[in-house]
Formats: sequence, C-alpha cells, structure tokens
Amino acid sequence: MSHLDDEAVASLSVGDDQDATAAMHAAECVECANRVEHMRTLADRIGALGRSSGMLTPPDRVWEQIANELGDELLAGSDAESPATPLVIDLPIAGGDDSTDQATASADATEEFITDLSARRDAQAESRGEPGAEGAHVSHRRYTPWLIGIAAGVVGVVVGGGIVAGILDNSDPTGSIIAEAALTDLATEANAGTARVETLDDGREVLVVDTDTDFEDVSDGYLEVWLIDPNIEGMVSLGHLTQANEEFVIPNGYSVAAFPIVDISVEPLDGVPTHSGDSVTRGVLES
Amino acid sequence: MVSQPPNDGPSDERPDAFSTDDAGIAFAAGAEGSLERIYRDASALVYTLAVRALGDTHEAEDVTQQTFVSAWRARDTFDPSRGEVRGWVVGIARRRIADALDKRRRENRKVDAVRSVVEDSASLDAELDQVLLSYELETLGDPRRTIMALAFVDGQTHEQISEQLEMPLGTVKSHIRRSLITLRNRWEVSDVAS
Repeated sequence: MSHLDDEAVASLSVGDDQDATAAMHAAECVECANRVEHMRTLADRIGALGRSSGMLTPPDRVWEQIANELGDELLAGSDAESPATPLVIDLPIAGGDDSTDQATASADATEEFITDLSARRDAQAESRGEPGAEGAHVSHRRYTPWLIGIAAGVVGVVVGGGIVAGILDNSDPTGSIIAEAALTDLATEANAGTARVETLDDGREVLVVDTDTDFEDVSDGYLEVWLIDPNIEGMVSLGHLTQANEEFVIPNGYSVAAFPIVDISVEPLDGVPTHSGDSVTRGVLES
Repeated sequence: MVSQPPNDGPSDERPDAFSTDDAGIAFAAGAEGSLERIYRDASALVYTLAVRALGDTHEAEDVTQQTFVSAWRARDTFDPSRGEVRGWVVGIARRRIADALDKRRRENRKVDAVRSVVEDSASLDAELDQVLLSYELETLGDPRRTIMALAFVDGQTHEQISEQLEMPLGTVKSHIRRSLITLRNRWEVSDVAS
C-alpha cells in the first residue's frame, strides 16, 4: 500500500489503532513509523507544557520606542530601495502607464474572487458539516506548506517584474498564446512539461497542459488541474487530467493574471471537492 | 473551560496562515504599516521568548525593541518565498537574546565562559521551542486548544473529553488529529526558519 496519510499517522500517534491496515503498514514501513514517532514526540511536548499558556504582552511603550527609534525610516517611500504601498500599483510595470490601471483592476479582481471563493467554501462547510459531523473536517482541508511558499514566490515575482500587467498587456504577435508556464515535478524538481493559455477563435481561453506526469503512480486517486491565485485564497478546478496532453476551458471571468499558478494535484477518491493539498506538479504562468 | 458551546464542529485551523504570508510580502517591499502589522502579530511571541530566556522584563523590552528595529532595517534580506515573516523575526529575536546573554556573560567575566555558552545555547533553544509550541497551541483557538489540554496535559481519554464537552467522540478525535497535524506542520516551519 502507499504511505500513511497524515490522519492515519495522527491516529496511530495517540494510540488509536482501529485501522488495522494502517497499523500493519506502520509496523513494516520505517518511514511511516518515524512519522508516527515524530508526532508522538510532539504530543509528549504538548503534555509537558502544562496548562498555562504563559504568553506575555509587551507594554505599549515598546512599540512607541520602536516608532521613535525608526522615525522617518518607517515612512513608505523614504527609502529609495523599498517600493511604497500600495504594492502592485506603485511598481515599475512593463508596458507603460496604461498597464497600471490594468494591474489595479487585476488586484481588484483577485480580491473579488477571494471573497467569492471563501463565501462558497463557507456555504460548502455549512452544507456538508452539521456541527459535530465527522465529515465537516474534510471539507476544510488546508494546503501544505509548499503552497504557501510558492504563493510567496509568485507574488515576489509579480512585485519584482509586473507579470500581472504583462499577461493583461497581451502583445503576443500570434495572438493565440497569451501565457505559458514551465511545469515542475514537486517531488524531484525536474522539468515536468508545460502549460499554456491560448485564446480560441471564439474568444474562449483554454489551458493546454502538456505534462510528463507518470499516470502509473496515481493508482488510488486521480489528477486534478487547478488555477490558483497568488494568495492561495482562491482557486478554480479546471477538471481532471487523464492523459499527457489535455486542454481545459478556463471558466469565463477567471483571468490567468489573477490566477497564475497552474497546479496538478492528486485527489483521493473521497468525494471532497476541495484541493487535497497533495500537489505533484506546478508552474507559474508568464506572458 | 467547559462552559464553551458543545458540539462546535471542527473549525478551520489557522485562518490567518495566509494573511501572515501577505504581511511578509508587504513587509519585504517596505509597505507603510507593515511593520506595525507584524509587531501586532509577533511581539507577544518575541517578548515572551525574551522574558523566559533573560528573566528580566526591562531587558526583554530592549530585546523586543531591537528585534523589530533590526527587522525593519534588514527587510531587504527577508525573502517571502523562503518562509513566513514570523519565523524570520523569531530568528532575529533569538540572536538578540543570545547577544544579551553574551553581554551579561562578558560583564560577569566568568572563567568557564566557553562551557556555559554551549550549555546556555542548548537550553535557550529548548526554552524557545517551548514558547513557540505554547504560542502555536494558543493560535489553534477553541475548542481545539481546550481539547488538546484535556487530552495531553490532563491525560483524559477521548471518551472522557467527549462526555465532558458533550461533543461526539468522532468530533473529539478529529479535532485532536487535525490539531496534531497543524502543530506538526507549524513546528516544521519553525524549525526551518530558525
């Protein structure tokens, strides 16, 4: 069988071994046994902390002293090396002044999508999980730390180079490919193909995925293709990937400028519509 | 502790995880107000670390001040793609605390300074890890924080917790599993950052 998931590791670490298959796997697999042990150590440390949190708040004067010491240094724009707030708008952006408005628009659009998606998540949580229902936690799966890392990376690039504006400011002479991403296998960091966004004659946008992902490895789930925003707040599933070369229509209204991360995840067959957090391949769309 | 509403379904852990990330990006870019935002988020953590390590609130206030002043001046060296800003700030605090201990040691002119440096840095790390874990437990929020304390500090069984909080057994177990996973992920992030 494949390695234990986090839930199974957590269960075993607190002595809950009702899942005999998982317990047997942990008895034979050194890696999973170590993960269980690691979590058990964590549980022991929690126990050793005792009841009081012991967190202390510094007196207000500490912040006042910091503000005093830094003085004008704290003001945005007082240091030529650091771009002022708001972030996206004041950045040097390729394409001239008019793209500034586009970048702003895209930031607004991102915010709108975040709101929409979180509302949808909340509604989903309500409909799936009556208080106390076992199913409730699964609809709340979060994303693994690499997602946080890549999000920061993406925004870093946006901040540095104005990709947002670049994608919107489509000046590709062929007129069909508007953005492209090199895909990376997250496990090996190896090249895993490409993804590109094309505009069809009828105006629809499609994401064309051309990947080297090994489908043999995905025996107990399926591959799902996502576009994700740089904050990892909003994401849209484009469908599931069944072959090395596949085309997905991007829902009308979703701009790849606002959702520049192409992500392919392994989704378990559990009927949960949210991202599993188990991403295998990713790339960032650039114009 | 037991007066909280029963049957509170598992809540999403760390709703602020991504906004912290945002804060780091704004901070790295030197956005106005970004240091204050990070101070609000991390000052209690830094101050508690300093008080615990130095045993003196005045020195701890100085260390907290120095930490955030240094952080702001060194923001160019913070890379948001490599981790969260909170972990980075804690790294600075660790060095400031070590500096304060060094200074104290030099003033005391201890003969066995070399040996005590080693001992102190190991015990300092253990102390800091403990504060970090307390902090992460706090941020789990209720009911998870309460459930984790009942399970691991008081050593109650899942069944006892279920009865006491009038919460289905499956929900209690699920909270415990999810909390452990969250804490482990946070712990690993802290380890990387330090």
